[in-house]
Order: sequence, then C-alpha cells, then structure tokens
Amino acid sequence: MKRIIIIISVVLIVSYSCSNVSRKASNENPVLDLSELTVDNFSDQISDNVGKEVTISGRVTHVCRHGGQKLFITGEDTTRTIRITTGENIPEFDITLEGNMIVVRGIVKELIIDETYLAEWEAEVTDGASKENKGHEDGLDGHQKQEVEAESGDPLAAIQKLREDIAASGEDHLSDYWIETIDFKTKE
Amino acid sequence: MKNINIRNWIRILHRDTGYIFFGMCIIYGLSGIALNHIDDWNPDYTINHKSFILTEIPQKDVIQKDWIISMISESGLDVNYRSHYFPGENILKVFLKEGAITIDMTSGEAQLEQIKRRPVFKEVNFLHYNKPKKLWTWFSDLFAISLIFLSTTGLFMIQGKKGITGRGAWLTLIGIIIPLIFLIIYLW
Repeated sequence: MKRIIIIISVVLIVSYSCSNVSRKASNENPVLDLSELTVDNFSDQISDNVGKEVTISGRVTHVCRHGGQKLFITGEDTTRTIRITTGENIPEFDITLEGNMIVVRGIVKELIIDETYLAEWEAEVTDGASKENKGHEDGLDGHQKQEVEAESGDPLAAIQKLREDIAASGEDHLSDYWIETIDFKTKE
Repeated sequence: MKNINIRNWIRILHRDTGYIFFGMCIIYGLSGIALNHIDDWNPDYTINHKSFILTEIPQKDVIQKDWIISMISESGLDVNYRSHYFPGENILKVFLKEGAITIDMTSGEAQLEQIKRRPVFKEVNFLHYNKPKKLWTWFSDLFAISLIFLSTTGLFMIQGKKGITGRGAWLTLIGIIIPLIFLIIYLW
C-alpha cells in the first residue's frame, strides 16, 4: 500500500511540475510577436478579423463575478470595451486582474444574432429550459443568456428588444464580437 | 461458496473504492450544495457594498494616485490602492486589491465593493465545473463511474431482511421514485 501511495505521489508531483513548466512558459514567454493592438485601434476593425489570431492590450475594467469566464478591457477611450473570454488553456480569470493592464493573445469570435437564433432561444425559454447551463457552440452560452435575462428581468422582453435592435439596424442580424484567449500576461 | 466469494470481492472493492473517492464525494457534495443555490449567493466570493459621501473632490485632471490614497485613508477604509481610471466624464473608478470604489465626481457619492475569495467553495467549484479540463476530466469521469459502481455494489453488501431482498428493496425503490416524481411534474 505504501508503494501505491508513493507511486501516486510521484505521478502527482511530476504532473504538477510539468503543468507549472508549461504555465510558466506561456506566462513568461507567450508568443506575443504579432503587432500589439489596443482597444482604441482595434474595436473598429474587429468585424474584419473574425477567426484571426490577434494580440491586444488594455486595462481590465471588470471580471465576471460568477466563475470568471470573461473580462472586459478598455483603452484610452474608456467608452470602448472588448470582451475577452477564457479558452482551452485558461480555466478562469482571477478577479484580482481588475485594474491591471494585460496583453491577450486570442482568436476573434463572432456570434450572429438573427431570427433563427432568437426563435431557438425563445423556444428554450418557453419550454422552461433556459435555466439549463448548456453551452452553445457559437452562441451565447447558458451563463450569458442568464445574464441577459437577469439584466432585463424578463427573457422574452430581452429577446423582443434584440428583435427591435435588428429591425432598427437595417440588417437581418446583429453581431456580437469577442476574443477567446489563447494566453495572456499582465503588463504591470 | 461461490456466492460468498463474490460478496467478499464486492465488499473489498466497495470499501477500497469508497476510500479512494472519499475526497471526491466531499468536493462534489459541497459544490453541489453551493451550485444548487447559485441564484441566492456567489459561492466563489463574498461581496460587500458600502456607500459613503466625499465632500471634496478635485478636478479630474489633478486626480492622481496620491490623492486617492489619502482619500482612502481619510475615509477610514481598510483597503489598498491598485490603479484607477475614468469610465465616464464624471466617474472615477479606483481598483483595489480587495475590490473597487466607484465615485460620482459630481455628487461625491462613492460606492465601495469589497470582494473576498470564499475559501473552500472557490476551490471545490473550480473542480466541479471541470475548469482544469485535461487530466481532471479523466479523473472526474472515473469518479462518476465509481459512483455507479459504489451504488450498485452497495445494494449487495448485506444479506437477509435488511438487504436488497427486504428493507433495502423498499428504500432503494423510494430513492428511485422521488426523482421520477420530479421528472413527471417538471419535465414529462
């Protein structure tokens, strides 16, 4: 039995060391050789860069209090913000990042909010399934939907508001853009 | 004789699996309670709000770190400055190591948000949500399979009136019927 415990301990120590080495590598020497963008010069170009890898810096203005799955960064013009979400190698964002300048490398994502999407969401709400925290491959996940619902107080009203926004835009859809993190580091 | 051997093996495997996954049961049990009440509290952080009024606020362009630190001290707040920015024309947001202060520079109204990591729950939720991914996915899958194994072997631990052919059968039936009732009421 002692041998089993020793073997398990060795495996744990080795895996911890390996994960630390890779984390250290990604924190200290992440691939940040791309031209570094800022929120100010990128927010107007974000729609042209969907699916592309970018490196962007900004000040963290907010980290999600429920699970740390997203944060917002801003630049000199504080009315502009970009949403950053966690990625494969980033389990969550710590709340202590708020106020820090960070450099994020990630992929630009787009969610197309059209009538099909809203109809599906509406059906979920009507069927009472909106509280399920199930993910959507390219859409608002359950958590985001709950936030939108919480903000409006009524999910159906939120959906209706989005329909009105689509109509007012003159397009057949709205686009929501964000960056999914590959790695990041704090600047200060 | 053969029955006795099988029962012995069941007892041994049930016992040792139970030992191995004791910690996991506590992790998932605690986080299960926390996540059941996710609408009522934040299981990751304790967040407290406090309002206060500032009587003298200098012009935006002269607000610097030194003034903010002395304002914090004069307000009797036990918090530490991290950074600050202006999210709006007359709004100052001060990031602290323990949260943030949002100040309306026109009225002097200040809102302190103090955030403290909730011990134990933060950690167990991190694991329950499978944020580490990778190897943790395998281990937690193994735990899930072991739960099925533990509950199945548990049925055959005791023979006789209190076993699965007597009292055990009724209790097991109750445990199956209760979730079925909820499914009938809320889903089917």
